Amino acid sequence: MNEIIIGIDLGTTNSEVAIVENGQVVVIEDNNKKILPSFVGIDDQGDIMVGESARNQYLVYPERTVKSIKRLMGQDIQVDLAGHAYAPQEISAIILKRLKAIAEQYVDQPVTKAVITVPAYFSDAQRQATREAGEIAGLEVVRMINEPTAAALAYGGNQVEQKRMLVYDLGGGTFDVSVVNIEAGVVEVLSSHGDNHLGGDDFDQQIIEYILDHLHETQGIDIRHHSKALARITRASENAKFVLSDEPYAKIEEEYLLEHEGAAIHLSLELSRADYEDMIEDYINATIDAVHIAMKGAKLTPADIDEIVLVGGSTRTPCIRERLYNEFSFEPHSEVDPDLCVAMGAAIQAAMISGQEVNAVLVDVTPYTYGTSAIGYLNDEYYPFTYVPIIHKNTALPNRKTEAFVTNHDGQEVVNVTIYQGEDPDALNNIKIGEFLVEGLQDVEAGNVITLTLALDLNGILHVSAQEKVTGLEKSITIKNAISRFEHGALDTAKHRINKLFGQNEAIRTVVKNEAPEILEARKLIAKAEALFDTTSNEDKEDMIDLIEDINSCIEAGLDDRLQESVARLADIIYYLES
Amino acid sequence: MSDTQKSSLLEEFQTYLEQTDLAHTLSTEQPDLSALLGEMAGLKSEVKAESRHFKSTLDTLSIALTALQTDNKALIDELAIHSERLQQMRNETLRTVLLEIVDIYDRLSVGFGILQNYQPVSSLFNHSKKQDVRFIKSFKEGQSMTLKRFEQLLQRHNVYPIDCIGKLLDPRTMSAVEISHDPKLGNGIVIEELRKGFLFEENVLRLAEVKVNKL
Repeated sequence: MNEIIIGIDLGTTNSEVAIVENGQVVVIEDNNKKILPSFVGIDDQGDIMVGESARNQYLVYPERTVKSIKRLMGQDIQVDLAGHAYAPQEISAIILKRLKAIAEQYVDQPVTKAVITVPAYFSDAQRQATREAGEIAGLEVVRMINEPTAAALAYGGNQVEQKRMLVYDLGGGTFDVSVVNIEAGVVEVLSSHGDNHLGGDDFDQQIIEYILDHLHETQGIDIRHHSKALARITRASENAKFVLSDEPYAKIEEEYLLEHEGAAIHLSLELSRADYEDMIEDYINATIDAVHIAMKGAKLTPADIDEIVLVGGSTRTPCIRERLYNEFSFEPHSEVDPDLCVAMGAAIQAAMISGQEVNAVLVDVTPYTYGTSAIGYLNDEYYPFTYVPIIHKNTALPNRKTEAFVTNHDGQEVVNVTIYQGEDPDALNNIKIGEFLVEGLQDVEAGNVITLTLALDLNGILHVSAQEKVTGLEKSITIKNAISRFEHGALDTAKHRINKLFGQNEAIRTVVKNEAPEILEARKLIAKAEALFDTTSNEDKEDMIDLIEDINSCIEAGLDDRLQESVARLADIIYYLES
Repeated sequence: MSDTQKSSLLEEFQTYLEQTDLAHTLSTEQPDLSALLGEMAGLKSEVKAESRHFKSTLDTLSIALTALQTDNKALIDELAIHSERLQQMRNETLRTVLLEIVDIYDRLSVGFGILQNYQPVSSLFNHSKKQDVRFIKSFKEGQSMTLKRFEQLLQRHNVYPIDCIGKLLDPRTMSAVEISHDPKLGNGIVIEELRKGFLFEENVLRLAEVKVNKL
């Protein structure tokens, strides 16, 4: 058996431990939790606590609790913990010792070696202090790797081909961006930039302020001093942020928030993603500026970057993905859990050192983008079929995303929803996979909001629903096998395009009135055959397609005898399939 | 035995002797020992071959048995893992549902608290209508019953509230989210519960969020 080497992400706020087991990366849980808060504390009995319980007492007993020790690593100072002075590496060692124990309990044997991740900007002194922390904890640090390197490894950075990755890491309280070069399985950090005080907590705070202002304006109450109500608003804000990652609107409702002048005050407001994105725009701009600085540091342009990897829970905010797409013109990767991918990369590096086979981190993702078409602008020109992606390529499955659209003209009672698979900004260049009408909309001015929800499960079943936001009027369809079946559809589209090049008109398929009865009969048969496409084998389908094409060309050329022969053969296949 | 029977039997025996060629029994010629030996050797090697065959069959069976036993053990282990995983999933689902119930319970209790604070207007010229007071009283009673129903439901699932107020902060079950200063109380004493905490089968279902006295 290979020697066990664990991979550790020793973070400022949270830490994780992972191993590779039978080729698969496993982030080890402690009490059903994969994330251990990086807090160390001493309890009333003088016992040491690491993680959530230490965090729980921080506010009351800061003198016997230490947090964010990572920020002090490498400095020649001592921190006080319950009256005793400790070096930062000693405090880090306590966290590492706890992670080691979690791993030992899982593998049921002693663990003495580890790979630990550190930020790319860490100095030699900070790295040395981390190494010492490992030694104090009884762990030989066989290698220390940069956090962006670990993230790149989790995304298959150990492959041979050369590529350059941009690692965008936005956590709860810190932001880092790095440009890495991967060549022959060696990952090198070319440049790095960041902000130690920017993260998802700032986003929460913006929503909290928005709610407080709303309450002040609508109820005339300042609830900053109502502890219970404020705690509820804080939770509601974080929850709204999560909802807005997948949906265009978040309803923030807190009943009986507090009692004011003998009456109950309820909170009920809706926050749109657009408003939320306005609130956090400055923060996102700051991260994009940092991306530019990192790119400049690496002397690269966006065209030199092959992949973008999103790390940190706050990267679930959709506008981050959009902004990066606008900068680089390709989709960033986020399929490996952004909270855990650094620990996973550390475990992969550990397995490579111990000579273990490592499979790629397995995540079920959608290989295609799914979206709809809407009136918009394509290449700065008005275009009625602009593609609006909803579920992006490489998104982990199952997934559910909602986007909002508005009606185009006053009194519009019907919307036609068309679903496409593909990435082309022109929806018509993508593959159409479904279409339906939502009828009976309210007779109101243009701008009536229609939300469109796409839910794709692990079996490739795509559930599409469109809803008129005000009335709740809903229409939905289910597209089975959305992930694979349209490869054939793509083939048909290609065939059709090539045929067009040779002058065959698409209008051939549309029914022309006053046709001969044989031709009408042939068309009916074609329709019947096409209806059977979903349930037939590829071989039969190909035969049918050939015959359909033959019939169409006979109709066009007026070859009655050959038409009858092809029709008879198609009828035979249909008879055989139906029986 | 009667004479007739005896004679009939004798006749049958005579017929048998006449019809059977008994010459070889009387022959004094020696058997071909080398042929016999050859046959014996052939027979022996055949028996050996067969026993080898048997042995190899037995070996194969024994290997198959070992494989079967290994597979069986693996299957038992697999089943145990699956059953454990199933149990885990059940617990996780139950925890999720219980957390949601607890959340609704919280909201109802806050509402009930506000309802209890209701005081009918009773000044010299201004009084609440009797039917309004009666309506609110009966509504309060109904709410109280609903809350009790929730409490019983939680108890049936072994979910119990964490007792906090007046206790020393226990960071394993409570999270200090606010501090206050009251010299009359001891350091670390919980003075207010901002969000009720619950235990589920002696594990924390939800941490209590508390305001703690700090001296």
